[in-house]
Amino acid sequence: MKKKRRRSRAVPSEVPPKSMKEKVASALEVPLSAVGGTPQLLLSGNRELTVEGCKGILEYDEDIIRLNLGKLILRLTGRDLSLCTLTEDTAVVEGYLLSIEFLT
Amino acid sequence: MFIIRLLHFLMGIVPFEAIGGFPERFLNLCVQNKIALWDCHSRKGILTACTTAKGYFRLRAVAKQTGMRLHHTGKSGLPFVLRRYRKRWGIVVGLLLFMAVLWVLSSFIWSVKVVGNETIPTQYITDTLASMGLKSGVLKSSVDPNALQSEGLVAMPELSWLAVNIKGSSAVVEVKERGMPPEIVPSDRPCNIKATQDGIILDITALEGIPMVAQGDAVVNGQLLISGTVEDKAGHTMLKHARGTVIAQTQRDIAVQVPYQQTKRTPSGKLTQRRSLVLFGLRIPLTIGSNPQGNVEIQSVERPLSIGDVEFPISVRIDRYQPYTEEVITLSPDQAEEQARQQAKEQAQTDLAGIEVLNQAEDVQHADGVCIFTIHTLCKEEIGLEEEIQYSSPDSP
Repeated sequence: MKKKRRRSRAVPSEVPPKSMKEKVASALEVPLSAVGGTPQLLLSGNRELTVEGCKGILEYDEDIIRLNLGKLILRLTGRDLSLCTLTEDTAVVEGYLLSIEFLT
Repeated sequence: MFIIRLLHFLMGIVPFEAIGGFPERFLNLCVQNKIALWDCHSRKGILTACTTAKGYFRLRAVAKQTGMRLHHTGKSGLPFVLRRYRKRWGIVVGLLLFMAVLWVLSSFIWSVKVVGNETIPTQYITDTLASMGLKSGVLKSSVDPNALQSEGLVAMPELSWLAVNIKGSSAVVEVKERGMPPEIVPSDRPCNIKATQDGIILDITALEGIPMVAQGDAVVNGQLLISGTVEDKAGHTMLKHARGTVIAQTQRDIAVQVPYQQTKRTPSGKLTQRRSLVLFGLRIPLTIGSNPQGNVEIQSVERPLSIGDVEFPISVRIDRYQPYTEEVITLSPDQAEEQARQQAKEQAQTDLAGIEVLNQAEDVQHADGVCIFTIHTLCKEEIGLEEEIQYSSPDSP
């Protein structure tokens, strides 16, 4: 049986070059969020996480949730995780969060 | 959170379970199709979530697309309540009727309340305002508070300020009473001081003007006491505002007549009460039966229906009919005298209030079946009164 090849999601060894928006924000000395396009994460302890700029759900279970943030993938692990609100742009995750990972 | 819960209730809440298929794809498609989802849980391959009533119908296509079996586990909210009662037209009609009645009734003024008056009777103010169109039962739109304020002040000079505030269905009339100044001649106008009573002058002090009488002189009502016409050394006549006090000894007689033969009313028979409901001035009897006829004394009490400070234009009127018999009694001269003395003393107390009494003497006369009781009172009082000198100025045309 042919073994399914899986794409590795390793953490890059180098910092990726700055995007145009990042450069503009840096030049104008304004926060990156003011320029737009970057996802916003609001964490309340380890009980609630509000993700703005969520493009979709890649995996959904009570122990693990993976969200598509465009250039990033957000991997949340925890216990009894649930999506208490889900709209076109925002997802609110509730539960007992154990880890938050950013995958590229 | 309350607002969100209220919105969910208004749009209907349908909790559902989705089994099998691809839950992530299902959620993504829901988001793309703008189907509201909340309280999503995924346990052991079973996705549970809540959606709106309309959203649930649209979920079916999404579930079919993602290979999930869908079934709802309950339903609540306004759309389902309305659906349950959709054939109960009476409720809708009743609701509409209620709102219509509420709207109609709220466009009327139900009560007029007067606040701020101390000496002026409330009845007088309400009666005056009623003649101008502000009374219970009138349309709110027909009342112009500004016009009422100006007209009310003209009609009631006793008031210095009047404001009509319409609060809901009641009109609150706030008033401020005018401190009525005594009618005195302005100090820049020339005047004399004349006597208001007959008497003997005990003391006269002229602060301005020339005294025309001296201590011990007898004066009559209307006599000039202090003249405002003053002549200077050169012989020129000047008109001044006479000022001063004139204390005199006066005589006041209080006479009371009591006839020997009097008609006395004695209550006889049963006291009858008749209740009636007064609605916008219309009396609706609450008791059956005719009112007692003949010699009947009627006492009426009207109690308006009120909750707290709010008075309604509905009141209960109780009329008490007390039959009586008239009896002619003849008093003895002593009884008549005693009665007359009592009445005369009561009258003296009111008439001589604030006046110093020097001496009092009583006199009784019995003639033609009548007892005449007189109290002769010797008083000490101020008898001077300013009276303007009417003249035509040489400058006036």
